[in-house]
This record gives sequence, C-alpha cells and structure tokens, in this order.
Amino acid sequence: MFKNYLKVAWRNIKRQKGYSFLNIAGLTIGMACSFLILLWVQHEMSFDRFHRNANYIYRVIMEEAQPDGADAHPWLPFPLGKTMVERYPEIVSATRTASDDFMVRYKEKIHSELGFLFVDPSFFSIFSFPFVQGTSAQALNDPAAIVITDRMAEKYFGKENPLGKTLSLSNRADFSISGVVHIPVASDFQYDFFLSFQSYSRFNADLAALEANWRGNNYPTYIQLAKNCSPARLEKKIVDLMKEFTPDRKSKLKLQRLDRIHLFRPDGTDGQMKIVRIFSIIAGLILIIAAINFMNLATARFDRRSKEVGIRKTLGGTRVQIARQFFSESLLNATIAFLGSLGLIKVLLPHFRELAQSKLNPDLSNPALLIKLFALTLLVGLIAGSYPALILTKSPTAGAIRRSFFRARNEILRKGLVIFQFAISAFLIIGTLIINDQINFIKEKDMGMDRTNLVYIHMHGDSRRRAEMVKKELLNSPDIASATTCRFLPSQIFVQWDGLDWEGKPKGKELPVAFASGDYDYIPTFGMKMIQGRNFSEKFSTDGSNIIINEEAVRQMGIKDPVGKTVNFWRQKGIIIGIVNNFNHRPLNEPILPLIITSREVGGSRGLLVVKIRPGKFSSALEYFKAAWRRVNPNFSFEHHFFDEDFNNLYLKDKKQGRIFLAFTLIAVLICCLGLVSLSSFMAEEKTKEIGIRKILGASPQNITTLFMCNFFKWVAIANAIAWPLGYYLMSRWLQGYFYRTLINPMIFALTGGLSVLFALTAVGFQTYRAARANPVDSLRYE
Amino acid sequence: MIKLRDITKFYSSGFVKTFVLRNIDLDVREGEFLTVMGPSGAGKSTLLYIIGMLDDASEGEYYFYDQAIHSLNEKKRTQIHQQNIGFVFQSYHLIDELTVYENLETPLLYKKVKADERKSLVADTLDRFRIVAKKNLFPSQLSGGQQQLVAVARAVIINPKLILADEPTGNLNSKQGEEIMELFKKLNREGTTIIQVTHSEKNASYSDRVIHLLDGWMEKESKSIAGGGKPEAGDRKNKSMEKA
Repeated sequence: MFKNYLKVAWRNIKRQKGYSFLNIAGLTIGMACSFLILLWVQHEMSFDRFHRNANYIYRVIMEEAQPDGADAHPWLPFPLGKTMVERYPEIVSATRTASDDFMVRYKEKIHSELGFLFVDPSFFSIFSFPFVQGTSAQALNDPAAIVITDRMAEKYFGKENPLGKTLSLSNRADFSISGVVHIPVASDFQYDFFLSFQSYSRFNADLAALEANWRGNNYPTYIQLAKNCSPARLEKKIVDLMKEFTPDRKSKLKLQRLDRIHLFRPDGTDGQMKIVRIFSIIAGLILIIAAINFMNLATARFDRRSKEVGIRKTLGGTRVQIARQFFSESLLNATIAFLGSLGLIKVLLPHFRELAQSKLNPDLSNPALLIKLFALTLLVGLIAGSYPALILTKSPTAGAIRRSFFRARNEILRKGLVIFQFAISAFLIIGTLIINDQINFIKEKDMGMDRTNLVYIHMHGDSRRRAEMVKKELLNSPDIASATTCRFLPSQIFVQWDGLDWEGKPKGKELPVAFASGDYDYIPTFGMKMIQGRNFSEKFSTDGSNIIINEEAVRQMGIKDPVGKTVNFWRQKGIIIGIVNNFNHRPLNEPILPLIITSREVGGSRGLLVVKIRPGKFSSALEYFKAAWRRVNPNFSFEHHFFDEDFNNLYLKDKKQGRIFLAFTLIAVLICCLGLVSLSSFMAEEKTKEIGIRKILGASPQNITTLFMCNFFKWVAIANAIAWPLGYYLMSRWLQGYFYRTLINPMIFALTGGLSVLFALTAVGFQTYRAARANPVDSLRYE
Repeated sequence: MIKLRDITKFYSSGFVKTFVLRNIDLDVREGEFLTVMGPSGAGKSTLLYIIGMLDDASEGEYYFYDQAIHSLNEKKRTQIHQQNIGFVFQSYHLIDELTVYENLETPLLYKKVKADERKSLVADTLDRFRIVAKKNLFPSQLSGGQQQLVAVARAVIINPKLILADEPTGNLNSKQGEEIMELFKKLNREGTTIIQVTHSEKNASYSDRVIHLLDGWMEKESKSIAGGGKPEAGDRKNKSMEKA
C-alpha cells in the first residue's frame, strides 16, 4: 500500500514538473536557510559546554552600586579567588585570569601576539581543554612553563616538536613549552598562550603586593563547585564577602554559570542571546513561508485533486487511507527538499561562515544531527500536508466529484496565507532598511576626531621606553604629519566610577570618568579640537601633572571657568589647562561621558604608537615608519594596524547582523515570489472560464490583467498595513540598543510598499497576462 | 436487496431549501437490472450516490441486505461499500496518474487484499476483459471505449453484488456504447445486480425495469420494453451469490 502511495506521489511530482520544481525549490531553499540558522544557533548555544565539569564551573560576578543602578561585571580583585577557595570548602578550586599581549620570539621568528592568558595552575584541571601534547595536570606548575595552542605550535615550529622549546616574550623572559592544547571553536577562551601567575615576578611585577590588593578590579575569576553543592546557597554566603575587604564600596558578589557566559551579560540580561533569539525567529519565519507555499499550492490544486479523492472513495478508499496518501505525498516532497537542502547547505556554508563571521562547522554526516533535521523536515511535511489530507478527505464524495466544492473556503485560506507571507517579507524588508540606515548613520557620524590616515603598532617590553626616540626619527620624514604614544585608542577608552574629586563636589556624588593617557601630541594627532585653554606643551614644566577635560566633564562636574581649577584624581592633583571637544570615546551604543586626558606616564603604560600620515603618502610613510622602528628596536616586531579599520571592526557585529538580515530577507522574498508564481498560474487556470466569459463580453487583455492584478495589490496593501506598525515597533526597540541612533525615515515604509508591489507584479504579472490573452473559445470548451 | 423508504434529499442555503429527491420508495431485488430515467436535474445521480453510500439522504431509511445504512457511521458504511459495490461513470473517472494495471489494483488495495491474490485477480480480470496488452498504458493513451472498458473492469474486480452506472455510455459512440451495454447484460446474467442512470431509451431496453424521476419525485414504474427477462438461477456462476 505504502509503495502505491509513493508511486502516485512520485507520478504527481513528475506530471507537474514546473509546479513541483517551484514547490520543492522553495522548500529546499527555505529548509537550507533555516537549517543553517538553526545549526548556527545550536553552535552558539554549545559554547564551553564540552568541559567535563561544565555544570559545576561558575564565573564570579561583582555588582557595584551606582547612582544609575547596579553595574555588574566580571572584573575582580586578584586575592578574591584564592580567598574563596580557602574559606568555602564547597569550592573545589578557582582560577583567576588576565589577558595580555607580548612579542613572541623563537629563533628568527618574531610576532606581536595578543592572545596571552595568565591563569592559576588549576586552570587546566577546572577546564578540560584537550591536550595534543603534554599533560594538563602539571602543565603550569613550573613558573617558567608555557602552554600554547596547536595553532601556535604550527606557526612557530611547523613540523618540529614544540615540547621543551623556548619562547622569548618581549625580550624580557624565556618560557619553556610544557604542553600543546587545542581550543575548540565553541569556546570563549580563544587565547593562544597560557602562563601561570607565578611567572608575574619574572616580569618584575610584585606578586605579593598583588595578592594583598583588594582595590584593583582586573581579574575574571572562575570557580569549580563540589558536585553536591547548591550554587544558590553558596551565592548567599558570598554575597557580602567584599564588605570585609572594601567596606567603603557597595559591592556584592554573584555567580554566573559557565554555559551562560557566552549568551548572557554578567547582570543576567540577554547578550548574544538576543541575536540567537532574533535569528531563531527568522529561521522559523522562513520555514513558515516555505511551508505556506506548499500548502497554498496544495489548496490551489484542490479542484484537480478533489476529483481524484472522489474516485478513490467510490473505489472503496476510506478517509484514513486517502489522507495517508496525501501525507505521503507531502512527506515525499519534503524529503526531496530535505536532501536538496543538505546539498545546498554544503554550498552555502562557506558563504554563511563569511557572512556571520562564525567558525561554524557542522558535521553533516553526523547521524544524530541528520535525524534531528529530518525529524523537523517530517514535521514540516506533516503540517503542509495536513490541510489537504484532512479537509479534502472529509468532503462528501458526491460533491468532490462534481468539483469546485471548496472554492470559496479555499480562497479565504489562500488569501490569508499569502497576506501572511507578504507581511513577513515586508517586515523583513523594513528591518533590513532600518538596520542599513543605522549602520550608515554610525559610519558617517561625526565622532569628534579624525580617523583617517592613522597607523599604529603595539609596543612591547622595553621598546616602550624608546618610544620618544622613534617619534623623533619619524618626524624627520616629510610624509608623516605627527605621532603620539597612548594607552588606549581614543575610540575605546574604559570608564571607571570613582577617584575624581574637585572643589565644590556635592557629597556622595560619583561621576563615571574615562581616563585617557597620551603624550603632548595626542590631541593634534587624533584631530580633536580645543574648545578652551591650551593643549599640553613642552614649554610648561608642570604639564606632566596637568590635565585636559572634555565638555561633558565640565557639564557634569558643574564647574564655572574650569581652566586653572584643580582636580584630584587617583590621589594626584592636576590643574585643568584646557577643554577638549566631546569626541566619542566609547562605541556608539554608549553615551559620551566625562573624560580626563593626562600626559603623566606611569611605568611604560603607553603601549601604542600612533602615526598620522600625510594624505597620499601612504606606502612611503609606512616604509619609513617600519625602518625607523627597526633602527631603534632591532629586536622587536613591527606589525601595523589601521585605526579606521579597527574602528570599523567595532561595528562589525552590527554590520554582520545587517548583512545576515539582508541575506535572509532576500531569501524570504525569493521563496515568497516562487510561491506566487506557481499560485498565480493555478489561479489563472482556475479562472479561465471567468476570463473567457469576460472576453466574450468585450474585455481586453489589459482590462483583465488589471482586474486580476488589483486583487493581488489588495493583498499586498493589507500585508503592508500589518507589517508597517509591527516593523516600526520592533525596529524602534532594536534602535534603543544604540545611544546614537538614526531616526526612522518614513520613506522606508513607502519604499517597502513599493518593493512589495514590484515583487508581486513580477511574480504574478506574466501568468495573468498570458491567461488574459488566451482564446476564450478554448477556455470555455473546458466546461 | 435494497430497500429505500421515504428518501428525501435537500440542500439548504440560507432560508431556501432546494429539494433534489422527495419521498422516494424503492425496492431492488437481487439480480435485477434497473434503469433510472429522467431529465437533467431530476435527481438521478443523487439517488445513485445515495444507494452507493457516497452521499447521505437528508431524511428517510435505507436498508442494504437488511442493514440499516442510514444509521451506520462512515467507517462501517465504507466497509459495506468496499465489499459490495462497484461504480461506473459517464466520464470513466480513471485515475490519470495510474496505469491500467494499477487502476484495477486500487480497489483491491483499499480492500487490503493480499499481494499474490491481488496479482492473480488483476491478471484474471485483464484476461477476462481482453485488455492484457494495455495493462501498462495510462488512461490518456486509451480511447474512450477502452477507458470505459477498464472502468467496468475496475468496478467488477472486487466481485461486487451491485454495480452502479451513471450514464456509462454517455461519452461513447454508438458501437462502443453497445459493447459496454452487452457487457452489463452479461454481468447481470452472471448474477450481478445493476442499477444504471441513462437518458437513452435504447440503453434502458437492456434492463428489467425502468423508473422515472422528475423534479425529485418518482413518477412511474414500467417494465422494460425489450425486457431481458429475469435471470435464471442456472446462470448464476457467482459463488458468493449462491449463498445469498
């Protein structure tokens, strides 16, 4: 019997090659896209879940009371992790972490590397990263040991055995490789070099002092709990632990489970999870659109099929038997689409990876995965097949044989489904346009500084102490306008919450303050403007302790005539000598805050050397930069970066989202149109008699085309009426995530409407016109 | 075999009831060849569908071998229908997607006949109707007469006690029509009860009895003119009929 169902299903597919193709193609594309998104979602949800102890590992979170609410972050004082292990037996072990960058040298290979992580030796027993060479247990017991990733082993040693080899870090200390580890793609610990904190002393840091410092919040800390321990109970015990050590600060401690770190912010709100949710919804919508096509075509073919149902009933087919046949038909279609989508995923995967900047690499031959996807396919097939299977077979046979029993009811359903599809497409178009607007808005926003023609390098080790010499050499070149050393790029300056005092400061008022550390050429090199007062200058010997503040600082501190006034910051006095314009020192989803620029240099803390190149002199200037650096620092690497590029990378995530959104919108619209093409040809067929009669009454093909197009336009109009407010509401909420955001342009909605009409016209127009031109005599003979 | 009492069928749309059949009383004996005549819209086909259990009467009682069909559920009814009734239509109603062989096989599939038995039944029937050569063709590759021949073969394959034919020769030329009617006559002689709907006096002449419908009323009953006579007991070759 089942064989017979399949045979008929297959012949039906073959008989209507065009429709079957459109139908299956739409479903294939839809399934491939939604499967891709689902694979990506699964990938995002799997971060750091592979660790054996994943369920018992927590990150400690500090919640600091602030005037505008609590600020939750993972930055903790160094001694905390150790103290917690000592104090609470339910904590098995803890590891503190700190990222860093060094220049790595092995023989003649020198590279500037950013992916260093200092950890406690327990790190590799808490986290179970697979070791390719060496063993995890003892890997970091020796303070002079270093663990590197397989990637770095390849980069520095090629085919040589890296174990026991020595790496020199920034020409300051040598480390012996004790293990090679593999960091899976689905982990947030994307570092390349792992060192023990015990080695801090080898970089002239005072580890004992650090172990006693409860005020520097710098070290993300992870703890592993005993298996029978209740994290909620432990959380209650530790919540006020910080009061003992820093009674003046109102900070509380909480726990965040390892598997939530990738998706949620430290305060527990959605981080990446928001995008995962949005994309899951998009995947669902695309699948629904594709399934609707499927159902629509099935209902459009009711007339044809109802006759068959009637015959089968007269031959003694029961309702269940005939329903089964319809289900097997839609399941067969869905299965073909499933196979097609697997192929399509293979083709699309590299593009998707590029688009999403994701390292997603699903194993499509994994049976568990295939079964899951196939189960989803069957579900789609069942849903799509349910309408014809259940409704059509329920009809009285006599009516079914006499045709056109369902016309009215079908038309309402079909209209509803098409409108729904169009509404989804219109909504996606609105979303794409608004995201695009926002990205352009950010790109073109005046940041209060000049990002162009800036090149910078990271300075490591004692090369920082020779920065002034390099600068002097650089200024000899006519192609270089200026150069400066600084601690942070001015687009990414961190904000802190305490340490600022000034005359007349209201009691209890704390301001968030961004501290920028740069030399005298900082402001001119980045093209910032002095609003009042002057820049730092060598002519004034006290400028080493003087400061410059931004307009926002003046406003929030509420000082009149600020130039010449004294402020205290970090227990140092400084006189305000000038006011700089409000440049955006944080990504644009954050506001401009009070900012202090100091030229005071604390122990080689400025690790960036930034050079402003004269327009059009790029390659010669870069050559000169490199040569000058090498002359002064022959043992140090030179790897340059572009400020503009870095800046754009800040918004890469938004761009990425925008591009993915665009891609999926196009796909949704395409699937929608595929459905319309076949639907309209069915409708044209269904209406042949009406068209014939109208023509006999004297209607021209144009009249008839217009008449039928009007129908579709009505649907498009209703769909847009649904999509506009929805799009406006949801996209306004999305824009709330940005402090600087574009206004929603009303033209976007008009454009969306126009595009919808255009798509409908393209999809429907040809079929309708062809039907309208047919000879009425032919069409009337059908009846 | 068939007993209709006070069968009425109407469709209601809004406040208007459209009557198709009114108070039909009809008895059909086993082995009879009955013709239903009447103008278009008289309710002939509806009556046939009701007898064939494909449609419900709005009112009235229907007994098939003393089973009260009007009080059975759909599943039960389909079972009785599967075992006993074969249909033949004016426009053949073969399934376009299936070959001749598969069309013949379909009612057996629905009846859940086992594979080897199914094969031999189909082979026998192809043989009996002399269409073995056509078994792998699709309906669109056959002439009208051939299609109707297949349709009759398909109706007969389940060995029905009753064949219902709705204008079986309506789409055929006169020679093809005659062949089909001869076939019916033969089946009737072998013991199958036949009820046909037709406009043609000539076709009616093959039957034992003619009833006339007009606007849903049953008008009059008459013996067929040429009258094939009652089937002789000796003609019954059908095994299942013998115990009935």
